[in-house]
Amino acid sequence: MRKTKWKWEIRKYSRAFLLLALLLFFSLATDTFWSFDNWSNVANIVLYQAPVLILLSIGMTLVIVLKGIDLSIGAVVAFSSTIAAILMKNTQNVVLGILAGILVGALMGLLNGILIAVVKIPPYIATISVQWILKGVTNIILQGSSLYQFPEGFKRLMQSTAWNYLLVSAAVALAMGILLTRTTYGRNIYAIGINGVAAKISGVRTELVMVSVYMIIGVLGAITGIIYMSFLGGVDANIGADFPIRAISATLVGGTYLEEGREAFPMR
Amino acid sequence: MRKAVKKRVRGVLLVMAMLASMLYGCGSSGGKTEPAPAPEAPAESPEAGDLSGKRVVLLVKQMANDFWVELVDAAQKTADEKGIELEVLCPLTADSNEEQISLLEQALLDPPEVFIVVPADQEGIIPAIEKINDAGIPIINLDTPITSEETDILTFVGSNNYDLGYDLAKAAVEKTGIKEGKVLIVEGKTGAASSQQRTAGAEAAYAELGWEVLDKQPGNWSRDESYNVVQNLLQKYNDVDVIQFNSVSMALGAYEAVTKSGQTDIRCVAVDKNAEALQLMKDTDAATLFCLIDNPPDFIGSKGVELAVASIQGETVEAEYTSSGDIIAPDEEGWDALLSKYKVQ
Repeated sequence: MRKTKWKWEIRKYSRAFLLLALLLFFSLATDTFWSFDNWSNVANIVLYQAPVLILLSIGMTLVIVLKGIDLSIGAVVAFSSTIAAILMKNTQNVVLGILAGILVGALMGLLNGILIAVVKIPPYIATISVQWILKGVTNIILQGSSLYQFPEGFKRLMQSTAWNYLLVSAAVALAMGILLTRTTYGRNIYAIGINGVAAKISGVRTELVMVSVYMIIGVLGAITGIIYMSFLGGVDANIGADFPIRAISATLVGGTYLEEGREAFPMR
Repeated sequence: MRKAVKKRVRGVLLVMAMLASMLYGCGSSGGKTEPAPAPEAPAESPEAGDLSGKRVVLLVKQMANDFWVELVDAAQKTADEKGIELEVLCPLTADSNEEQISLLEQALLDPPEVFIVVPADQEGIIPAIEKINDAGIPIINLDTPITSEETDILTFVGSNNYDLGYDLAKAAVEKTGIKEGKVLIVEGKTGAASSQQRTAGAEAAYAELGWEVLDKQPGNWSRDESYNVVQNLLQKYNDVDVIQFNSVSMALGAYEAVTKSGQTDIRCVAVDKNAEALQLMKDTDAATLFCLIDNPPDFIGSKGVELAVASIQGETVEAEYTSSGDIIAPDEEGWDALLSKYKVQ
C-alpha cells in the first residue's frame, strides 16, 4: 500500500525533478545560462509562446483523461480565428468578433462530441475527419489570401499588458484544476475514462459529459486562435498545422497517460 | 454484432465526407475562375482549334499564400486566352510531399497532355516524376527546380533563387549603409531547393560585403513558426542589424516578434511581395519591414502555361526561362505603380 503511494508521489513530481536537473545541468555546463539575455528569452517564451501551448494542452488533458483524442484542434484554431477575423473586419466590433470565434470553437467541439459520444465514431477517426473538413472550409473561405488589418481596439485589448496571455492561461488552468479535482463533473470525466460502461451504469450521463469536454477543448482552441491572431497580426489557412501533435506531446510529457485514461494525480 | 457494423458504416461515411471536402477545398481554391470563361470565346490564337479538348495539369505546393494564388490566377488566365483546359491540383497540407505524389499519381489515371509541377521537395517528388516520364508525358517545372539527372524535365520557369537571395542581401547592405553588420536568415522548408539557394545566395553576398551571418534557422514558410523562431533568435542575439526572410509571409509573421523585442533598429528584408506587406511598408514608412525582392508569380504562372501550349503544338522550347527580381522599397522605381496595383491605400 505504502509502496504504491510512493510510486505516485514520484510520478507526480518527476517532471519538477527533471526541470531542476536540467536547470542544474545547464547552469554548470554553459556560462550563458544565467545571463540576462537568456532570461529575457525565457520571459518572452513564457509570456508569448507558452500560453498557447498551455491552453491547448489543458483541453487535450481533459480529452485524453476521457480516453479520447482531438486531432482537429489545429484546424479549429485556424477556422475560428478566420471567422473572428472576418466579423471583426466587417463590423469593426472587436468583442463581437471574439465572441463569434469562441462560439465557432464551441460549435466545432459540439460537432466532435456528437460524432464521438452519440454517433459513436472512434475519436481518432471523428476528429481527424473534422480536421480535414475544417481545413477545406477554411481554404475555401480565405481563397489562399490572408486577413489582416484588424480594428485598432483589438490589439489594444489583447496586448494591454504583456501578462494578458499568461494570465488568461493561468486562470483557465486554475479553473480546470478545480473542475477536475473538486467537482462531480471532474470525477465523472475520470470515471468515464477508467470505465465508461461502469460510469454509465452508475448513473453518469456519459454522452453529456463527453460532448461537453469536446466543447471545452473547442472553446480553448478558439481562444488560442484569437491570441494567435493578435500577435501574428494576420490569419491564414496554414496556422496551427502542428498544434495537435504539440498539444498531445505536452499533455503526455505533463503526466497524463494515454493507456491508463487518467492523469498523474492519484484519485483521493 | 449489428451495432459494430453500424459503427463502421458511420466511420466510412464520415471519411467519405472528409475526402469530398478535401477534394472540393482544393479544387475550388484552384479553379475559382471557372464560372468566368463560360462563353468559351475562341481566343486570339489561331491554333485554338488544335487545343480544344486538350488538358494541362498544374500542381502547386499550397494555396494559402498570395504568391501561389497569383501564380494560379495568371496560369488560369493564360489558359483561358489560349483556349486550353487547366486543372489545378494542390495538397491540402501546405508543402506536403506525400500529398503531392498521390495527387500526381491520381492525375496519371486520366493523363493530361502536359504536367506543370511545382515540387514542395525537389528530391522527394522524384518517384512521381519518374512515373510521369515512364508514361511519356512532358513535364514543365516551375519555381523550385528539379535537378535530378535521372528525370526528364522539358523546361524550367522561375526566378534564379540564388540571385534572389544574393540581390536582396546586397540591397539590404546598401540601403542600411552599415559596415560589418550582423544578419539572421530565416529559411523556408528544410530541403526545398528554392530556400536552400536563396540562403546560399544571401550568405555569399553577406560574406563578400563583410557582414556576419549570426545564425540561420528554418521557418518552414509558415507565419506562426517564423514568429517563434525569430522571437527565440532575437533573445539570443541582441546586436542584429538585418533579418533576411526567404518568404514575405514569414517576415509578416515575425514582424510582431521583432517590434516586441525592443530592438527598434532591426530591419527585415524578404523575398516575394503581397498586398499585406506593401500596406505595412507604406503605413510604417518601411521602418521595420525594410525592402522586398520581387519574385514575379504572374510571369511564372503564365509562362508555364504558354510553354505547355507551345510543346503541345510541337514547338521547341528552351531548357530554362528565368526572370530577375526587382527590389521593392518606397525609394525604388515602380513603388507607386505597385501600390495601386495591389490597391494599397
